[in-house]
Amino acid sequence: MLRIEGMSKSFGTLEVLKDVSLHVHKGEVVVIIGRSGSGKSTLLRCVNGLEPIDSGSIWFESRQVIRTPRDLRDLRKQVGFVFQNFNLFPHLTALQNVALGPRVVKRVPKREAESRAMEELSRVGLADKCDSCPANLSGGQQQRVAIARGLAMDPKLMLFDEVTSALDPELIGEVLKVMEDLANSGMTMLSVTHEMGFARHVADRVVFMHGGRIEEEGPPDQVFDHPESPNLRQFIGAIL
Amino acid sequence: MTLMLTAITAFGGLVFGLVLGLLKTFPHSKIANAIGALYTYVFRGTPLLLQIFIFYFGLPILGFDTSPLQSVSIALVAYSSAYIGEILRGSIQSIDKGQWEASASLAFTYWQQMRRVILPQAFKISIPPLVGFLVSIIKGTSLTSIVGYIELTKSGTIVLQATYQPFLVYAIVCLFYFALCYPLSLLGSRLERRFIPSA
Repeated sequence: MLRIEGMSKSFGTLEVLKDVSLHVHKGEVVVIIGRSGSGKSTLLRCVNGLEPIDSGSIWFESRQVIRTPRDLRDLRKQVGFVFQNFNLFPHLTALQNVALGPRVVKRVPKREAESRAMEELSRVGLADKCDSCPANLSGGQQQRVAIARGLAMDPKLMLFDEVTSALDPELIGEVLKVMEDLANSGMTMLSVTHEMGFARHVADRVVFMHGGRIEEEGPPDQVFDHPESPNLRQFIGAIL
Repeated sequence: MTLMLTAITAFGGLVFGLVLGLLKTFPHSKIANAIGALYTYVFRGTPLLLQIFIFYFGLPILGFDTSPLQSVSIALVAYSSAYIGEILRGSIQSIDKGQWEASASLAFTYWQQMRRVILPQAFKISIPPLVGFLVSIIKGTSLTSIVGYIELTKSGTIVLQATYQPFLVYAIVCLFYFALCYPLSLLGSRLERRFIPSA
């Protein structure tokens, strides 16, 4: 479904991604782990064009993504993105946040978009908060609304960029639960996370990034229990 | 007349100020940004009184058959849009980058982002400085009396010539201005409270 070929990216003289190639198949849950600064988030942001890439190519559903504004919008209609800092629209209620994308981009009539938004809010367990403003929701609730906002666009692929890193520890569980349910429902997911429990139990494949490269990848058991590269061994030793 | 001038200035200033604010923040054209900036420098860097003179005496010379109301309105709108444009530019740029990214990742076009996500938030931030500026433009309309346009101050002067009581007349004129500005300030703080929740 998603194929990244030889992607490189620099910020000034700093090379953050070096010739990265990665495939994500339909229905697969791929989790990217690695130290801060290893290029995980940048990789994710390059996929949906929030960051331009310097070289390499990105293929989605067997079509190469050409980076024109129109082509990027076509891609983004099919690829949801959830941010570390939620980035909900503060001037809108939870329901309006979720309904806005379909209304504006797909021209779904207001009533229809809102009933669909209500479904998505129920799915993340927040139907009763539909009229709340983001400022009155907890971090965990905001992040669940953000996931519902992504889902309302009917994405084929969801990207999660360290979505629990800005949350208080007691709120992480509720967000991971939503992601796990989503994975079980068959959604294709590419997720950057520091939650190793989630990576181990939910991922079909774990990708370890180090210094802008994919250093090792494989099923969770193999990556966590029989790491090959010294860097991965050190990383796992440090977090477990 | 002062009321009418204020209304025209507020409306015209907001419309053109919005255009200027958008020009100055448009990410795809340095030329648009430069035009906006140049306009601001010119109209903010010269006295309102002289702008009124130039439009009032200059437009007829250039062959435009404008009434006094039209001339002074154009001057006031030109002047106030420079300020309002700058207020809006600041507000637009103060919106968090995450708002742009979130709406971009929902496949919004630039104008959809602006209209649905950025401007609604930017306007809320703009309310206090906009009200402040509007209050000062009400007082600014008094300058048009100098070219003989009959608004509040000029009316006062005319009454003065009949009564010869400058202190009384001008004090009353001041009261009229205050009566215009004070409700506006009140309205401003009410809007603020309504639009900016305390969280």
